[in-house]
Amino acid sequence: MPGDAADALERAQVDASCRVPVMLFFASAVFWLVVGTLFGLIASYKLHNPLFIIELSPWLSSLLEKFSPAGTVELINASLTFGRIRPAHLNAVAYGWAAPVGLGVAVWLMARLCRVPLRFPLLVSAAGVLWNIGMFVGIGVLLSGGSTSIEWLEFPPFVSFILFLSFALISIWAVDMFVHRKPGHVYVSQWYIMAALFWFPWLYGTANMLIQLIPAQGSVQAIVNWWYGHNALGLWFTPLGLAAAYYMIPKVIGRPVYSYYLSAFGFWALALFYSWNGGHHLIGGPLPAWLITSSIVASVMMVIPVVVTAINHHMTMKGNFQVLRYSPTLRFVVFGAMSYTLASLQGSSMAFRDLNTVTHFTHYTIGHSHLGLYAFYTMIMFGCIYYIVPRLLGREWVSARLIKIHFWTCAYGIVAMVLILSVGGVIQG
Amino acid sequence: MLQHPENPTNTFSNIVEATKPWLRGRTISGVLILVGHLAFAYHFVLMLLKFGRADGVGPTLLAKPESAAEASS
Repeated sequence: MPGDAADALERAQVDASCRVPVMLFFASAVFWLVVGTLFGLIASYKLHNPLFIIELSPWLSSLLEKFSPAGTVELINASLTFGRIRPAHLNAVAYGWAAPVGLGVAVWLMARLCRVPLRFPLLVSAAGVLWNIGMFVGIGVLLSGGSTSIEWLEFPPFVSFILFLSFALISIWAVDMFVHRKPGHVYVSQWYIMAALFWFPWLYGTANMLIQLIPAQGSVQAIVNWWYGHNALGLWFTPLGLAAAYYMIPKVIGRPVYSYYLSAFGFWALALFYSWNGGHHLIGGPLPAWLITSSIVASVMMVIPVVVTAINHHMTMKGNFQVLRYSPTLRFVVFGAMSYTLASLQGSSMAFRDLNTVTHFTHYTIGHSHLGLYAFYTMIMFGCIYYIVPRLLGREWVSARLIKIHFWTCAYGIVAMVLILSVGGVIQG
Repeated sequence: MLQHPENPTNTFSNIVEATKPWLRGRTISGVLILVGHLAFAYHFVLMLLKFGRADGVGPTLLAKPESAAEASS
């Protein structure tokens, strides 16, 4: 069959063009994932045992003082205080893991779906290196106490600039593939990726401009902060996660998405409603009531795209659930897609003033954010890595047992974490 | 433990104390996730070092599929 051979050749060329940059994004993302998890664990431990590490200092310091210059112990203790390690955790997992892994998946999906090779892969790789230089400097600044103390924008402006520049260099070549795509149907994953690639620089640029460079004053700063904070999740990570789910689920089970109409409807509803959601973080704050109320309305309207997407994914999966038993990719992606529904519906409910009175400023919110960015986004990205890496390297995963360990520890871990934080948060509230 | 939010006898330190068991639980779940990430990172490094299978048997699956045609990943 000459047609199949030509298709296989095309796929091989596409994969070859993406190999270096995408593997670079994945490798650096996995590094920051492990570092970020360690940061998070230290931060978590310190909340119930604040003297952790400092208590260790009697024997650690005697050891360290012998081999290192004076003041090292104090420096380490200071770096690992909660106020520094907590933003270091957030930034390592958000900008070190989540963003680069999403970019890697986006570049690969774009190349495969547009059926064109990535042009200038070395330039894109260089941008990936630049991004990681920014990450090392940024995390260094956070651990030495230089946080801007604005949530989600803790990195100082010059680090944000490095990340922005690197992002621009990467996204230009992803958009370029879309411009030069082979004729044919544009798939829903491509809409989500294109949207994410345009939304993120707009969000990140505007937020940095209005908070760092020409700071908005007073409570307006909080509005800008949460406009960015929530949109970074809703208009950047969410579209990338959904793009991946829309690709992987039909691909692995080998049948088309249930409804084209529902995909389009879900996409536009998300684009319309998500961008207003930030205000629900400021319920009870000194802001105009209409602003918060409209944000609550938009948060509840998010039920529409979420339910539509859930129905679409469920109907695609229907009759094929047995594939979850053996496909690592599908198992992670479906876990993520189900978590997306749960996290989003929980998020809509948390925007209600009655529930917000209890859960605001408690650990309940932390549980919700982990359900979103971890159980939804990160699990889908794990699934994508299990699918993409063998295709880029021409080799299969070494051990099914390691994949099983990975899945079950993370699945039980995150479910336990979300439940524990939710119950603890309500008691706290 | 659950008290009315406007109960004046419920002190702040009391609320903080009440969260402690749950925070310990989070640390334990975090350890579980760290174990998973370490297994994943180790597996990923093995792939980078070209320890991946190139025997043409097909993708690494978690169990045997019922029909061979279904095994695409």
